[in-house]
Amino acid sequence: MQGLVELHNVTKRFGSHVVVDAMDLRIEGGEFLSLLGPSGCGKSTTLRMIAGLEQPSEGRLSLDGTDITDLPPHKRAVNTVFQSYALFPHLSVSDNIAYALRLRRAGRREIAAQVHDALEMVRMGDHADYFPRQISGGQQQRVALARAIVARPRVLLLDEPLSALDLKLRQAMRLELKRIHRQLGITFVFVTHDQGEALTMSDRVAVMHEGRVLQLDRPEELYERPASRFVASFIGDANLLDAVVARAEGDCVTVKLGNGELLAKCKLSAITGTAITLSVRPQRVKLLQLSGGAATGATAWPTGVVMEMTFLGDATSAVVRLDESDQQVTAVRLNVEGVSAFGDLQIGDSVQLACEPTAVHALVR
Amino acid sequence: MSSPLERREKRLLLALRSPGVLLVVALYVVPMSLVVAYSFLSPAPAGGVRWQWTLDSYRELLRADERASLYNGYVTLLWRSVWWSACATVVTLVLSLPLAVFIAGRRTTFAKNALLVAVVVPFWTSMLVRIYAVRFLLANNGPINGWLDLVGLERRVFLNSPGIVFVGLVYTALPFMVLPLYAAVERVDRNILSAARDLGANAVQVFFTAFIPLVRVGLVAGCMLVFVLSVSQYLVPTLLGGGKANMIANVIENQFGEAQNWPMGSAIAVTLVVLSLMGTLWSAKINSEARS
Repeated sequence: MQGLVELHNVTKRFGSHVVVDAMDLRIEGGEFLSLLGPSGCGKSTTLRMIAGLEQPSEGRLSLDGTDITDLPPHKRAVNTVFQSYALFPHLSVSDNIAYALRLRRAGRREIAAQVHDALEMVRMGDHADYFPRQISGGQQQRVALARAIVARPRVLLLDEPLSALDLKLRQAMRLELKRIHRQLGITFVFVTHDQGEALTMSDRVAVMHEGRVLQLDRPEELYERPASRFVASFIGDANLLDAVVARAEGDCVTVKLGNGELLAKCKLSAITGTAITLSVRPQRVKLLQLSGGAATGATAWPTGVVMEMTFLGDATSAVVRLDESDQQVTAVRLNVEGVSAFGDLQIGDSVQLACEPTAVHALVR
Repeated sequence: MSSPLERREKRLLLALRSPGVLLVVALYVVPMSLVVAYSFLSPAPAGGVRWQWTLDSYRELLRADERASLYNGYVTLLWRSVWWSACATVVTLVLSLPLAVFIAGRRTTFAKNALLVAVVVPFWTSMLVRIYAVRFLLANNGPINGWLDLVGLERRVFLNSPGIVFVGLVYTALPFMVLPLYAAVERVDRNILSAARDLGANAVQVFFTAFIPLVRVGLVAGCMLVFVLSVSQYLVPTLLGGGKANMIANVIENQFGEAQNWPMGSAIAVTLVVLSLMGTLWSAKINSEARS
């Protein structure tokens, strides 16, 4: 099977600065794929290369099996929603949307019908005769979306389209985008630096850093099984702890952390004595209260002292400093009916750290 | 009732406005009104006017019989001025647009400013001096003919022809076109041009459907400036045309001077003002449509 869009060994340099570094990427037909990464990671440049607005310095791109590397943007069945919307200020909303159809010399009636459908799709039917400056940012966003989908491209590219909107509108637009994606069945490639956007909307997420794709996976996989320290820190909150491998046991390793040991999932074969990074989600950290400083658990779980307790509204977080180590671990528990789920745990209490082996991931440092 | 503070503010604004308003009234409104009035009066024998109302000057102006055809062909000359100015405007636009795009495309502000200064620098010299410089360059025994001689080509007569007047019009008008165009091109959002390409427009389509509408305000403003400046040019046809390629301003000068027919000169001047005004209003209308 072939991907709808394929990037083979694509590199983009601006002067001597490498923005995209020998990237391979395969985008499947119909999927909602996000390129997620901090600013400057090359995600927008990658998008612009798919659109044809930038030429790769090296490598090839294909669309539906056809090499499009040297095809100019106006000949690619790919449309873009720009971050700044980039609507034509001199054209009304409906003329903006009709732009692509008029270039194709579509019939008058056909244009009217398709513009109408596109406007309905983005729920802007009442605003056909307005000019871009007469409507709000959120509405301009919808018009930009309608303009890009009206000609039914094979791939819709979205370059941080929600970043200029306020929080509430942004969240509403996430749902709208997902609905439109479902209704159209077009492949969406969505660029964002917001992990929340990427996780909630995408079928798959490519986490990018310094011009490379670090991990390409379903959101659940990325969240539960980050493959690297960068991915673990970029997606959601994670405790990233320095530890040393004590024993390897099948696909698990026992690692030494602070004054105790933890069992961790490990995809790599780790040798005893290797320094690794542990990734644990705060929600997966359990704290066992120690009475009188004596360990209650039968195992050798590490112990620590509660340094901070913070009420977060729906949850409470506790920061624990590990004994015999200067590392800190954050644990988060949902509150039940406004009562802290940590019970009567107080700052200064001694606790023991308990984690399921499936919640702890050993990452190569 | 307005508060004392508001009244003080109003008085202050009035005081600040007054000098400018007085200057315009004294130096523009009064003479212009006189010119309009003179155009409806009869000529006095040795210049000046007789206060006797008549439409004779305008009748003479619009006369199109064979007696009026050459020297007295005011309509011909008016038409020639308008036509040359319109052509000069188009040529200036075609020359200025790539220049404006080039300047706006420079990476550093320094490079942009340096190039803009280069465009404006000729203005630091009086137009009279610059046109004399052009005369000197193109004179029959001037440097350009000297160079033609040197490379073995025939000497040519450049001066005192309609062609050189046209070149002069473009030469003097160029900065007035480049500056507003540059301001407009500089403001163009590149993303909009990218969006046009992305939506299927080729280079030519991007130019006409996206770029030109985006710079329209500056383009119309530049065209208006150049047209109004050119249509009333006096120095260029006088110094470069040498009487052989007169424009309407030369005729006005002639009526007030040699011909000693002030009402006639006034009538032509009024017609010229009306023509310029029409151009200005037309461009203002286009630009207000672009903004509305």
